[in-house]
Amino acid sequence: MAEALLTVKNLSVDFHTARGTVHAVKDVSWSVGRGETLAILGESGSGKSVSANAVMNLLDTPPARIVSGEILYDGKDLLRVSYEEHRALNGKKIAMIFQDPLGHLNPVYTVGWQIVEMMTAHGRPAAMARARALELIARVGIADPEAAMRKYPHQFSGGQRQRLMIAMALMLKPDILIADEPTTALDVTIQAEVLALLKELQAETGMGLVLITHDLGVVAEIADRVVVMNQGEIVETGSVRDVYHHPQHAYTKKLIGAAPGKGEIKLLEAAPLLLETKALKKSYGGFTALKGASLTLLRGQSLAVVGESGSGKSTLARTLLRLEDADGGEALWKGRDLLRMGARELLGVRREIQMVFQDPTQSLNPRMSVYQLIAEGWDIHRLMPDRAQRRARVAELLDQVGLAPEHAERYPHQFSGGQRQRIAIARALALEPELIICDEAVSALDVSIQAQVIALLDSLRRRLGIAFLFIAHDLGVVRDFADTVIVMQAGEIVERGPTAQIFDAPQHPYTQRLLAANLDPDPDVQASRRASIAAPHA
Amino acid sequence: MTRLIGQRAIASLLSLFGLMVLVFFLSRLTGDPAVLFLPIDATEQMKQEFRALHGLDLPIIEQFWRYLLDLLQLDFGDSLRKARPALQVVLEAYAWTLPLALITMAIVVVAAIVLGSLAAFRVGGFFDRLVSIVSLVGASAPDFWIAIVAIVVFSIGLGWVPTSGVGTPLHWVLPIAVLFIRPFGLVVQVVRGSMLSALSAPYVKTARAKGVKNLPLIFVHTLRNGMLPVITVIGDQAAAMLNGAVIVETIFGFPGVGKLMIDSILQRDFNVVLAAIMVTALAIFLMNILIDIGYSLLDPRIRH
Repeated sequence: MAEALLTVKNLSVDFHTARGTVHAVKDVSWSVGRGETLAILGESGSGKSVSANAVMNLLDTPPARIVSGEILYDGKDLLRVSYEEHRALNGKKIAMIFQDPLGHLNPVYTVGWQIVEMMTAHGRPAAMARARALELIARVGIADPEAAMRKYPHQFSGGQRQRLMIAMALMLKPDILIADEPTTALDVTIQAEVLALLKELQAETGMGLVLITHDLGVVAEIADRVVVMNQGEIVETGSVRDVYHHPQHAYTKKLIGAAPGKGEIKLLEAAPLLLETKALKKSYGGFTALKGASLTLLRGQSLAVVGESGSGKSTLARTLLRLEDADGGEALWKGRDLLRMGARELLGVRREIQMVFQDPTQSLNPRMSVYQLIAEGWDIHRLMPDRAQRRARVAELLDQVGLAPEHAERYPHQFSGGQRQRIAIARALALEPELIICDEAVSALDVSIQAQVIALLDSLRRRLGIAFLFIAHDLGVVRDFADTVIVMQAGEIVERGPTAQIFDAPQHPYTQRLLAANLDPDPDVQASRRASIAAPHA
Repeated sequence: MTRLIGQRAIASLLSLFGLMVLVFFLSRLTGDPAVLFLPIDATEQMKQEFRALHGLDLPIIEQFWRYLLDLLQLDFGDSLRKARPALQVVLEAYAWTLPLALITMAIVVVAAIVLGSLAAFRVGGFFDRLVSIVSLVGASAPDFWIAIVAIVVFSIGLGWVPTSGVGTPLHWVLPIAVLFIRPFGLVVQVVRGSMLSALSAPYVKTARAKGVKNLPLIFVHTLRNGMLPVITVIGDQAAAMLNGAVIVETIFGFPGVGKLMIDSILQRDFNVVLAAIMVTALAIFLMNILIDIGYSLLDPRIRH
């Protein structure tokens, strides 16, 4: 291990909230050396970002309170230096980039101004800052740096914005770069490019990199050492290889076991035809979101639609639900014309096709109890008028999705993210649908929860014969759940086939690129992949 | 941008026309000006002559048609009371109201932005408390009461400023001070709330991670974002002030458009009322365009 540049020692931080004191991190210690990449791995609520925020003096005190510990950099304890002294280090010696580059860039200033400010805020002349900014914008792979300087954040794509954030962070050649979930919001191919860029820049500058992530694949791809956090504590620490192959702590074992993409691949079974679409089209103004999608779906089938943002996969779902009207093409639901049916007939079909959305926090009305949420569909479709019968059925549904009957009287905010998604699934099941469309239904969940929800969906599919249209960008999850895969790119279906065929012998170059960019949690697999595939630079 | 303003202009012209129709007919429902203007013992013949002189004997549609034609030449007719063009009377009053409104709003905006931002940066701190007190007073104490108390204390008691009228800069102090309180209380609360949410935005975290100092953090990074909702409220308050501060102008004997409008309504001086309303509407229309321009200058996402 290289000599430590930055050392966090026995750090404990509490959060004082209305509901009491939360010990956000307890006795956490880690260090990072020159040229080294340390990953802090954990799920939501594990406290993985807290120590990094303490390093940058970004914790709001209150509610946060640093109970004990020290953060050593350059012979100084950063927890005991003055505000001004700490400010002078931020950006200059220790820089940070974040998960959501759109939110973390100021929307009303040009990108150039914001990058230049990194140097002017530390007293460097503007002309020098400008020259350095142009050089770095070019270095991170943005074409025409002069023009890019004059643009605003919303005029770039997500990947470009993260590149610009990286350029900004490197303006003053910091010793340490802290990256908090830097690629979580990005598509897989873009994620691969950004991680490759970070690695190259680290090799050039020798900076220490602290990478905070929930994704084992990212750890395998980029990190030298890993710190595994659970409920505010470090449960395990070591080299990435050791931790992956010989996990000591039960939590680490569980986390590695839950990583998707390792299960047995499912096969499509013969069943009656449920849904068939032909050349489905949809445009928004001048933009064609869907350029003729044709697919078939059988009873009890799990069909995955895979693609990156802008591929048209959500538009496909919305047109099938008639939340949007298609511009052309056909869709037959059990032989009936779905696109042209009248309101009364459509109401009936809407009961048969249900949807589970990505973010249960937003898709569940916070002012309705779980009982009301689940029973609402019965009101709309005038089913089950008897209250006692409804109570019994809600209890049964909650049991089916792994919740308890007494949860019926609670409200969504009283549940965790995974539990909320279970409520959303129970709501969909209440109407005894024949098809459930899942739009990134597990993307917002932690890996261990994700595995549980996938298992739940799969058992529902088997037991109740429900078909699934499973929209996802995470290939591991798709591999575990689907029997058939459709790959979409820019509004078109570019490849389709049984899951095994798509994963083992992808034909279309885009599918190949997607698979190559998908990160494997096994560091050795990742290393051999890197060696065999020259990463394509877009 | 130009297109947006063009669309706004057309919509506004339509509503200006509607407003004019409404005011023209409604004001004629208030009664016959001849009764008010002529002495009580005026004969019926004198009344007839007065009506004929001012075109008040014609059928009302005919009157409206003539008014419309005159209006197209910017002729609002004569003031019955002052026997001068109504537009001239109104513009004279505006010459007083406009500076009063502009000076007051300028002070309101600067004070509200600075104090509101500082209050948001340290919730519960000195500025936060100061802001709470002033806006509570502004929201709860009626301005006629504040005006009278201010006269009692500062003019009669301390003798620092004159009680009413115009003439010296000192005459402006009390009207501005009294007019200031209510819009300040409102705008400063909006600034505080808007800045509170802007200060918790992710880009502020980025700026802190960059090592940006506190003052530019508040007044450069956050303020421009926090100003967006504030502009609407500022425009609203400024528009209200352009209508003339009826009560304050009356109490301080300030010859502005608010006082003129009240006097003209009481005297059934229709032409002046109409001219005053049309000019005010035009001013508010211009104000709204300024707000739109302000918005797009502050937020590039609207421009593109």
